[in-house]
Amino acid sequence: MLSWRVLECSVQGFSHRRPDKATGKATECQDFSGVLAGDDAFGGGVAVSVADGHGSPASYRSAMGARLAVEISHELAEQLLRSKPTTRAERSIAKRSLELEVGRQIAHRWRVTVEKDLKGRPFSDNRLARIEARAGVHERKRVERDPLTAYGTTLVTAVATDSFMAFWHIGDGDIVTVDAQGHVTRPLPSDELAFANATPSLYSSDAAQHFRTRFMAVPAPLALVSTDGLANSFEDEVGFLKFAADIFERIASDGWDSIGGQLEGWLSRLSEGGSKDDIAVGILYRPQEPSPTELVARAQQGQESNRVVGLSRKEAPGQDDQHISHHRYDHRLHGQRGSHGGSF
Amino acid sequence: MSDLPGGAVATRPLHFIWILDCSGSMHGQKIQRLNFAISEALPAMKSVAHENPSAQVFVRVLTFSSGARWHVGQPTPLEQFSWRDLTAGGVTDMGKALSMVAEQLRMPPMTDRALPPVLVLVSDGHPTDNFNQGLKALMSEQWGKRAVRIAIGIGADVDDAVLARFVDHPELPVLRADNAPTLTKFIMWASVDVLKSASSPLSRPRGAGSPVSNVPIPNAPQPVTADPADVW
Repeated sequence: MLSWRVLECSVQGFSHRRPDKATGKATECQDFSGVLAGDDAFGGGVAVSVADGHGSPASYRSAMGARLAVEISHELAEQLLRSKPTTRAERSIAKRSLELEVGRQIAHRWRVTVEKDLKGRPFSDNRLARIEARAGVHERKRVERDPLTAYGTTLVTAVATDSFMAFWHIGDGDIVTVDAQGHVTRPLPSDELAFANATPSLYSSDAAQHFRTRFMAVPAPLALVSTDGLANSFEDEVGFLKFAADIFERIASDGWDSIGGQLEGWLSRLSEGGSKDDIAVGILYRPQEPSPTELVARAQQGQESNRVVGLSRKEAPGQDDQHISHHRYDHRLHGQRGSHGGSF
Repeated sequence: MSDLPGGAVATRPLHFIWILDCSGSMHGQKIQRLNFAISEALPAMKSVAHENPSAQVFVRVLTFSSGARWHVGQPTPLEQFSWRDLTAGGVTDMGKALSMVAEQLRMPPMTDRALPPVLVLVSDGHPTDNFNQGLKALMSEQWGKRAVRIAIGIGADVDDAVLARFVDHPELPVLRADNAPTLTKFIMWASVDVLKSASSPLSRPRGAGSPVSNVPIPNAPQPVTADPADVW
């Protein structure tokens, strides 16, 4: 089995590249992305994360909040990779630990780190006045009530080894997987609270409860994590899912290295024509049997229209995780909070 | 295959809906001033939309008097929108208007990638139909609940309580326009400042104490002090 490839990329939103009228400066990119890879102790496993700092006048330290979220998430990812769960029993323990601990640990560590920063750099009166001037007295009061608002961020993480794939996610943003046949699936249920530009946030006192997790015994060939600027750049859900499917197909036809060189340009163009927002993307990929040439041939044999519709069912024998997701153009998995595990 | 992976690319839509009282009591100076205020605000509205390309703004106008009707029913790109004067006559079927807005905020035709819509309700009186039913219909829709709802009350006879229930925001009052310059000022604020805020793609944290609308509302302007003879 070939080894995992991973890459990440984040671009400043088109609307943020021009100087802000109030400050005279271009707005700092609030999205952050990071990769965890290359340590022999991980057994070839990798992780990638993206985080979207809220970026409002009140959340003026959210770029830092996003960076901290990724760093802390990768501390947990590293623990998981080093533990190397491979047997059914070990995976079951890891899955349970993920469900119970990852949200709590990340939220707690993030909070402690941010509180420490805030203690060393309290808000000035001038800063609070600027928040009020730019966003109204209500926003100033919000920050005064809960200063951690200033660092607020979402977080999306994917971890992959030959033995499993794991995801954890708070807030808006997306995770999709692509199977060997090019079918695109959302491995986690949507968060109904992430609607109309509202999102659960790491700064909330109940952040741990808003984490969604998934542990898959059989990793998909490709996983893509992204901040909401990506999906919001497409006209509809199908268009966004096609992005992942197209990435998978291009890797098959042009090779992995072709993606890294183009991704930043693609994301910049998508921001410019679409959401205008910052965009961060992370991709995990492992070449699968059959060969890439065969995958391309299958895709060209008329499976294009079925890639984002229909059953996503893994076909390799002996699989433990028989999750079946019936995925349609406007599909959302409603009503499922918390972890969403496979069977072991 | 196109060079860019993925499907069609599009800016997020933002629906701005005027909900305007055209009852008989609006006849004369009030409706003239309302027409003037909205048409005066248009260039600034278009300018702010141009400077905030994160959203594709679509404008509609719904009027209510005896019944309710779409004055501009097609979501019209702001850059193509022009004002056509209203006339006044009839009663005040505000509930019907809210029901009709609710129908437009269902999914579909709305999608979950839209930005929160902006609804601006302007009235000088009391509803003459089932307001509760209309408000319930509006707030039963996700986009109705998440919309930025602004209310401008004109004159001394307006039902503040009803408008406040429409706004339903602990930090946003009903704006009282007791004279023509104040109405113009409030209309400008709703069309420009609120639109600018609503056009931002930024996600905001949702947690305890968050207002129902997820859009930060800029400070509302103060009324203009006018000659007592000019007070409605």
